[in-house]
Parts: sequence; C-alpha cells; structure tokens
Amino acid sequence: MKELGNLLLLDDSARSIVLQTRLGRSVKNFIDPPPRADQVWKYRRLRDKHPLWEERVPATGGYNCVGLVWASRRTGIFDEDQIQLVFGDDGFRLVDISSERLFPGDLVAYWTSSPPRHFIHVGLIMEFRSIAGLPGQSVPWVLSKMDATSGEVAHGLRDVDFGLEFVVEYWTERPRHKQE
Amino acid sequence: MARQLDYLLSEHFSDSVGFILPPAALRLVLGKSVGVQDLTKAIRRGEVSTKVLRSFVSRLASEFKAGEHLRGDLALAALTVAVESHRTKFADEFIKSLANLHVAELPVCTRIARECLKYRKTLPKDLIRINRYPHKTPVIRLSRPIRVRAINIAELNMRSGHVVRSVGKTIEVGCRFERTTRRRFRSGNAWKMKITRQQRELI
Repeated sequence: MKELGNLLLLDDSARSIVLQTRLGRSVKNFIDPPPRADQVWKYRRLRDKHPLWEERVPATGGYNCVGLVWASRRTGIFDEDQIQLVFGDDGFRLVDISSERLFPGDLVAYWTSSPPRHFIHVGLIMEFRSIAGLPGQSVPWVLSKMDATSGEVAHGLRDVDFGLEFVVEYWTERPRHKQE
Repeated sequence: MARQLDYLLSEHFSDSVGFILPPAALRLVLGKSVGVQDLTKAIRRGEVSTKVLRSFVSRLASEFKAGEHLRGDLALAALTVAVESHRTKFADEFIKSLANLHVAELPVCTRIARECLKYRKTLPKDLIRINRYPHKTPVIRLSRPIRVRAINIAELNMRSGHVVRSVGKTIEVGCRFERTTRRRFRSGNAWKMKITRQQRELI
C-alpha cells in the first residue's frame, strides 16, 4: 500500500530480548519506545479518574503489565497465545478463593466476561487492605501497569476501567499444600 | 478531511478508548467505541471515500519519526477495526500491509491489524459473490411489507437485491451468496438487528 510510504521500506525495528518460560520455550516480546508527551498526559488524565490509585512509577515505556509480572520490567508481552504459554509452562494454577486464601505475590488476571474469552490485564497482589465499615473483610491491593506507556500503580482489585465487562481470576504457582 | 477521521486523532477519542489493552481486547474496545462505529457507517454509506481514507493514512504515515511512537498509531488501529469487515481493495491492502509491519514506532496499529486479520471474514474458495439474485428464494425479499423502521433500512443501505430472514428475535439482512452446487445464506456477511414480536409476525 503506497500510502504507508517509507514505513514499508523499514526493516524490522521492533526490539526484543531473549525470554523463555520455565520449560525453556521462547516467549515473543517487544520493547516499545518511551511514551510521547501526549501519551504521558493521557495517562495522567486516566490516572486522575481513580483517586485511590497510588503511583509507584510515573509513565514509562519498555514494558507492559505482563512484562512487569513475568519479565521483571525488561520487556512487554502482548500476544494472548504467549500469555497462555507462560501460564501453562510456569506452573500456574487457578486459585479457588472459596477454599483457599490468597497471598501477596499471587496474580490477579482480568479476562473479558463474554465469550470468546480474551486476556485484558494482569497484576501482582501486594497486600490486603481492610474495607472501611466492614471489619474482618479485606480486598487485594494490586500492583500493575495499565499499558506499555503508563506508569505503575497500586490499586484496589476492582478499581479499574477497561471499557469492557471483565471477570477476575486469581493465579498462583504456590503448591496446593499451603491451603488453609 | 472527514470529521469521523479527525475525531480519531482527538484527545477525546484517545481518552474514551482508555488504556491500550492487549490487541485482542483492544480490538473489542475499539469496535464498541462511538468513533469507530461512526466511521464504519460513514464508509458504508459512502460519506467517507477511499480517496479520503488513503490521504488520511498517507498524512499519518508522513509524520513518522524513528524512535518515537507515531502520533496516529491509535487512529490507524481504529481505522483498521472500522474497515475490518469491509471487502474492498483498500481494506485488504491496508490491513495486510499494517499486519506485515514490525516497526517499534507503530506498536498498536500493527498488532491490531494482525488481530483483525484473524477475524476478517474471508469467503471460502468455493463461494463466489454474485450480483444477480435468484427469483425463487426461501427468504423474504425486501419488497414485502415488513415493518422494519425506515431509519434502519437507511442505515443498512439496503437495495432491492438484499434479502432478509427471521432468526429468533433478530432478522438478518444481507447479500446472497451462491455455492457452486447449492445456494446458501451466509449470515457472516449479514447485518443483524432486533425486531419486536409484532414485527416478526409480519415477516
């Protein structure tokens, strides 16, 4: 398509690093460029809609939510099949919160609620905070990066807005014997 | 440039899309966004021509700077979703060209294009689109008095050759396709809309 002009002549300029699952299978990843000024402003506008969010790192590029959780902030993982690959190869299992308690370090994954199921977001449970007015009840507090150009924020489990109906799943690689 | 295309470059559109989710989820968000839906309708009605779309793409591509996100990255992604179901030369070229790009500066639109390509409905090789429609048809032609609101008919840009049929609570409106051996209605290329029970009884 000639309208894309010189873009068609560019070599593959997407940067990536060597990243593998526990079973040694390669994980496709991309290091996106740093955010432009208008992307930083957009992030700030969206962040300000959530007054309870606590910012750990301001807007930054290079990695996304999946990269934060599974690649130590070195790169971003975007493809759904790659995310499924990590879930499988790294020995993650679903946590049934009716019979098992969650721990800091467990993962919270957000998926679209209507079929076909698509991955939306993942975050790391940092701690549990009590809910005002409800003694004995607590909510997971999650560390995540909303997209590849946003900052890292700590937020309540459901204090997120993806523009889609979503369901939450808890995942862990802990062995089952830690059940309570 | 068409206002629908201008809107894709606006702060308002960018904020309405929210955070850039992984490609499969972002495609859904873009598909639901008012900006993309307006553009899809405008293209279908002929309000936004291929020439205008080409010039829009050309303008955004010319703003490319190495090492920086392209300003129109999200707009190109939105355009990809808007033309995903269009069977035009432009849509074919545009989506395939973007999907084949692996450029760091266009992360969103290239990933969305690859995603759209998966969902882009392609006709099986034994199906051909025909421009003449059979006289004898098991489904009801538009010329019959069905009470679909006129505005819906206008939105769907239906012609006399189009056919409708009732499927549960929806009626499907679309073009007829012909297989080499037998005729079949291809609902994948049909538009769907809700009708009331009273309307359904009239069909």
